[in-house]
Amino acid sequence: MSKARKSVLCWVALSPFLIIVLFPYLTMLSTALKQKDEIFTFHRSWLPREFYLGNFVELFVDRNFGRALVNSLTISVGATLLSLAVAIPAAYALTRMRVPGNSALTNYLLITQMISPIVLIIGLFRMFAYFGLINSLMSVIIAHSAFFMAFAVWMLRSYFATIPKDLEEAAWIDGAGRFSAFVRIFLPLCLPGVVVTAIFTFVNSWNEYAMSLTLLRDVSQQTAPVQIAFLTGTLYQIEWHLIMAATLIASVPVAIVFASIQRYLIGGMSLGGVK
Amino acid sequence: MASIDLVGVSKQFGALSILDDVNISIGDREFVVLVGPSGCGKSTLLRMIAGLEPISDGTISIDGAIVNHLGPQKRDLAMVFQTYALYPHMTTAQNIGFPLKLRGSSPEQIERSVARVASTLHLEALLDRQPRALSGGQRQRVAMGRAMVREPRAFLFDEPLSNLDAKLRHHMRIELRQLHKSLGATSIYVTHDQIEAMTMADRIVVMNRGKVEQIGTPLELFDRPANTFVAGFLGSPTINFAKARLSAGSKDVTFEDGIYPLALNGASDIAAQDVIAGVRPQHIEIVATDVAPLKGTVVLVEHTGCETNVILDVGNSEWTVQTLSRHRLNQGEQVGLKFDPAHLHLFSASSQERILW
Repeated sequence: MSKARKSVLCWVALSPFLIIVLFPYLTMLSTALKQKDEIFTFHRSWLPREFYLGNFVELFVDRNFGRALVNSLTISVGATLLSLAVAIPAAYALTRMRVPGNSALTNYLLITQMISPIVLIIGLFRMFAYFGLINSLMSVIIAHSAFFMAFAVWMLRSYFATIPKDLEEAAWIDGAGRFSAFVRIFLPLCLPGVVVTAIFTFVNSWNEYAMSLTLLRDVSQQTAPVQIAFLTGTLYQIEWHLIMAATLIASVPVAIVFASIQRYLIGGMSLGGVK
Repeated sequence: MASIDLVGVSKQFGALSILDDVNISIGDREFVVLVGPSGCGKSTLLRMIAGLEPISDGTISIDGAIVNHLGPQKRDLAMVFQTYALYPHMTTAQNIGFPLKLRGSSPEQIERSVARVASTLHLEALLDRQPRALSGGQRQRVAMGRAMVREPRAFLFDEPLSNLDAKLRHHMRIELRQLHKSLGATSIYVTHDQIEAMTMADRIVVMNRGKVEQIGTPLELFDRPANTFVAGFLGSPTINFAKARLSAGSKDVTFEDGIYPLALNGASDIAAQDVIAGVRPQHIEIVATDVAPLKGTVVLVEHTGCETNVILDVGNSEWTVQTLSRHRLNQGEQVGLKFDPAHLHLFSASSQERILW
């Protein structure tokens, strides 16, 4: 079979799935660019009457959505940095050092992933209330990094295991201390793995809803997903034009991040998958 | 440069003993090869000297100072790994300069030293390349350069040539040997290849199952192997063994099936005993059957071009005879075998140790 025919066949086979995946995005884009009265017209059209950006203006000026984005960004970046700061040394120790109960620990990490955060939410709320951290972005940063850390450790561990130990040993013999060899030789080599893990953590944190909703009670502290959810139920009507504009904006950072590191992502995921 | 002494060095992993009471004394500027079959503990021993593996018992000292508890950073040894272990994200120049950078040398100083080493190893044109853009032989040289650049007290080599093809290996062997001559550096070289051991070493340490079997110069080991293991390990094709009986006073030796009583001029205080007799393939001559009491039946003739290997059934054993003359022999043909008794090695059948006769 020729290469062209093969690729046409592949596209035909994939197109139903492609439609399912792309339909919500197209709806989102189309709705976000329409005016309020245009959304529920009898004759539905994909293309808006005019290229209308008023929804975005309303979102940022009247609804203070920028604030929510900043909150989300602060939390996601904070949670990513904090969980990496703990997960990198943990994964390093689990792959390179003799840790008593190594396999029990790694299994435990996996088990924590089987519990939905929503089950723990009341306990978490009481704990952060005790520490006086309710309504502080810090509480969500800590909670997110705790929850996504297990995944980060797993992911990093499988990547670290692919780095030959010889390289570090060579560095030690060349005169590098343990920490210096880690920073100068080991970290640069596992950068792809670290980047992929960071992206996953960032995206997970960016999209997380339940914990942000519970721990941040003040409107000024709301994250983007929480504020979007509030757009659906706070008024007498559901403001689809605003919701779609907001989801569009909220999905942009995630899309940019994924697109820019796609090369790393495929490499990193396959490494994690095979090993 | 330095001397290295191992005294009673042992290594256990739980109940498993990897190395047992190893005693080796390596002189200044000496090139010592640790050789043995895989799993004999030679690489572990090298890693222990480097400080990469803790020592269970005994002491390792460099220039008389015990280094048991010093980390690999502080022993001032350089090591060339089997995998070369070049830093993949650094260029050749950065790889070679890395040990100096760690020491805090100035950029100019590093550049000068790297240039000097690169010219010794003919790496000038490759200084800006990353390891992935280098061939196996070039990587090997970069690894050497990284070891040489800081003028360490001793070099450790862990099977550095085993990833190269036969031709390049031969070339690198000569190059390494010349390098050792010009640097005069104490070197410990691990290999499982007896040719490398024989051609490169000042002294060879033959190891087996975590124990030192014999230490000596290549020719000492070849000519007077201390036991059947060393005799069988060195030399290609392998030495021929046959069961035999040594008479009292070591006057003669009779092969098991009685076909070859051999008059020896031995020491009189040796008791009659069962022995294992060994003769190297190069020391046997093929002669007419009527002039030789020892006979063999031809199984196979291998022509390698230069030498001819004749594989024979001798009694119950299979022997190899290597000759320079091109015999026209047919399978099943009977031939006579002759050798100088001086080339006969006798080992006790019970202890496998050499009997001095």
